[in-house]
Amino acid sequence: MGTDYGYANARVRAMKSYLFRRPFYEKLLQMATLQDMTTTLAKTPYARDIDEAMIKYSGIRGFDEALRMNTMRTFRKILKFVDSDGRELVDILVGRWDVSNIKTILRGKNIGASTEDIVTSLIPAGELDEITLRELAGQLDVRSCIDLMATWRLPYASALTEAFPEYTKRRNMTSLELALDKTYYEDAFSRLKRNSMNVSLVREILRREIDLTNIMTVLRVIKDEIEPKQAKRFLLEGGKEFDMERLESLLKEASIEDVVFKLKTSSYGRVLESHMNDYFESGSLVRIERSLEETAVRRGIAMFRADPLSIAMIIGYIWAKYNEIINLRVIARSKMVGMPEDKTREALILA
Amino acid sequence: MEEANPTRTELLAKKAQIELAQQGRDLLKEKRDALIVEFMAVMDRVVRSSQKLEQISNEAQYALTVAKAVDGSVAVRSASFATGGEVRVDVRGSYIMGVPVPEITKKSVKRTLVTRGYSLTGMSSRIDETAECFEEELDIILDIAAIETRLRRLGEEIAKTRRRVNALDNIMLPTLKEQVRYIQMILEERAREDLFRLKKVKKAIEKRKRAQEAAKKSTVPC
Repeated sequence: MGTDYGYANARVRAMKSYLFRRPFYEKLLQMATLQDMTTTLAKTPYARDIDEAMIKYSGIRGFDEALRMNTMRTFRKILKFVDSDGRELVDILVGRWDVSNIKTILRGKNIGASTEDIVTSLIPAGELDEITLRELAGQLDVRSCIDLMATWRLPYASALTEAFPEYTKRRNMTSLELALDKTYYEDAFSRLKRNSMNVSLVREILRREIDLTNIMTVLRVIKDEIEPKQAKRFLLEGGKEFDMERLESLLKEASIEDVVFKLKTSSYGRVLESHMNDYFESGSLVRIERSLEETAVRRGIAMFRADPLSIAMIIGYIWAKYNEIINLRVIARSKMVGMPEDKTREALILA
Repeated sequence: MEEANPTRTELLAKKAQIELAQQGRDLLKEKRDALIVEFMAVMDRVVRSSQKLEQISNEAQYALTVAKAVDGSVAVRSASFATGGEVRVDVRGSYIMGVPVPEITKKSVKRTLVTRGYSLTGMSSRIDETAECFEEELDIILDIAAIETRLRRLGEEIAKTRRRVNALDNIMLPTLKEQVRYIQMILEERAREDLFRLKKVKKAIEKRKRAQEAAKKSTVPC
């Protein structure tokens, strides 16, 4: 059954009107303390989350908790007013939260963290709700978590079961996490086989996301001088611009400059080249990564301008909201540690 | 002052003690100087390492703030769950000028991207850099722990040696010298007394002799 995006988009458009714009961020940047910022945000749609979070925690912890609750509430709200096909597409998009939550639970179980510690580190904004994740977090160990996922027939269970023997050798989470990431994309692409504009849009978003992850993986691997053979397993299949062959050849490059030179003609070439000086000065990939993220955020938010009767509006909103949460976190942290304004602005994406 | 038996044997013993104390003091002074040289070298390392620690600690805090800001404290906490590890240190003892100091050898706690415990695909370079900075900080802390213990031991030994040198210089040697002076004075006094007594005896003998001679002369018939 086709989805009526008209209703969903009308709701999203209303939610979009509450997103913060540049003047509001400027106002927050001028504030002296985190307390001032929290008070200001308590007069916005974050009021409910701030009130609830500040009962449990204070200061930055309370602020972080408020943002966590708001993320959770917002994405679950979107899931509620989209149905049938549209719901499946949104499920795929917010599925990344499931992956990240399952990773947190498995990591927590790996080091024997308490269930409460694990639960407070989750953002149940995906298909798996808080009760499901809490149940998973309450399991005894990694093995029981995977078994429970298999019982629930979650798509990640079989890949995790396959990767489990490798994990048991060194109790290193890499194999399990990699299995989760690969399964997320494989499962998503298997659900995105139909030919429709909405499906293509979501497929495009995921393929771009894979490209970005792969570029950063290549850069990080080369910076850390990891053998191409060892690094190959971290590449994700299904990218838009880069196939596995091209990525593997990039892994063999001797330096970051060589990789950037090879990527000159790609759509990320300009961004990468413009930040090479930062890399030479600091030896850090953080600025490059943030700029690539900015490209993705701007591309995502640009979806607002696409067909208003498609899923584009929802995709645009998800990106814009995600970016808003990050911006608020950046400003809050900068207030807390007294970070210079220029450094704070570097980390902000004011779309 | 400790009472000394004013005899010649005691005098010789005290003189021998003075000689021994002076030798000991000179040796302790040499030891103290050698320890100070070693102390300064270690001190230099501690100062350099502390400056490095301060710098890396600031970098680590900054990296953590950026990671918590952009990726969120939830993601950072989640990454920390994945990267649990252990630090193996081997502590053995060695000696510097007879002072026992600990030798701490360790493997660097720095890890590569693939040994850190999380998959590259789900983490950002901000979290990598935070982990890298904190691993480096931990390495420096372990280095400083080893050299600071060495520095403390050397400092304690220098203070102890200095106290010993001062005790020899200011208490023991003056006391012994005073005792020698006292014994010498007593012995000289005794010598003078003996001389005086001998002179007196000699005088008495001579007087008696003279009296006997005079008596003898007076009894001889003319």
